[in-house]
Amino acid sequence: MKHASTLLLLGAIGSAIGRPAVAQADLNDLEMAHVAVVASNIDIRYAHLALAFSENQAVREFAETMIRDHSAVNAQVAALAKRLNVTAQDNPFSQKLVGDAKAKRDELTRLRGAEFDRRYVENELAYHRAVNGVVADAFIPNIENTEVKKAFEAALAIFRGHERHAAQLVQSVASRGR
Amino acid sequence: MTSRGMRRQWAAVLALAGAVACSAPPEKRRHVVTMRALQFAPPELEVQRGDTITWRNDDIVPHTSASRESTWNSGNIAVDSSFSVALQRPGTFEYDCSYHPGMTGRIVVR
Repeated sequence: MKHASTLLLLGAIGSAIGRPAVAQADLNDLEMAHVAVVASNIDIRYAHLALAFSENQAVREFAETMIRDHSAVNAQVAALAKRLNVTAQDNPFSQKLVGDAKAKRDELTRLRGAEFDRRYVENELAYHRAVNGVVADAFIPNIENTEVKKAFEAALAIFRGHERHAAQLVQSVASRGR
Repeated sequence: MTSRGMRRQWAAVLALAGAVACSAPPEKRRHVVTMRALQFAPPELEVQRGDTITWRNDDIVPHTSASRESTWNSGNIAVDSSFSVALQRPGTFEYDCSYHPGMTGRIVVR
């Protein structure tokens, strides 16, 4: 079974959420699936913060799309796991993602108004960029199960759309702040 | 009746049948636009007045189909669900997915 080298993964995502990389680990298909679900759940939690703190309509609509889309992707992963009779495996990298995301949520929770909007959309862009890079470069090439690979490819198309959407919002929020 | 008379009768019947065929409205058709990977396929579709267009969500996330002139609005189209509309007015109709910027399409009604 191929394993995704996670040095790239840890460096990319770790930097995006403000923490340095830690020890290298290998991930199998089920661990990669777990990381994908955790990464989606992290973004869903960020989106709930936006709905709680932002009054910017475009930011709120983006957050609603994040909740809607990442929930749908996680449902697809769960359905696939059930069909394959497997369980996504927790792993130290998933746990680190969760811990690091908490620090980011604590930072966002202290902000309000335009400053919150700016930091939220900037984080969304950086986060999606990092995760998409890992999925494209470290996960997909190393997934052996055909159905799992197709699921990741379909999810990547969605997440790249999120990245484009976040990039547009960074521009529009920045222009409103001037 | 003479054979010439019968030929004239058949000619009249055939002419009448041709006139009816020409004036009958074209058969209504059904068209499908699929939604996958944040795209409408085909992105542009030409239809005749009264044809039915069905947007089918083959993607892994929900979408919508909403015309910019408010001619139609599907609301949420869940994964594996669809939405249909028959357009009666000729024109060019640009539309979008309300959830995903950049996911756009065009219907041309003749």
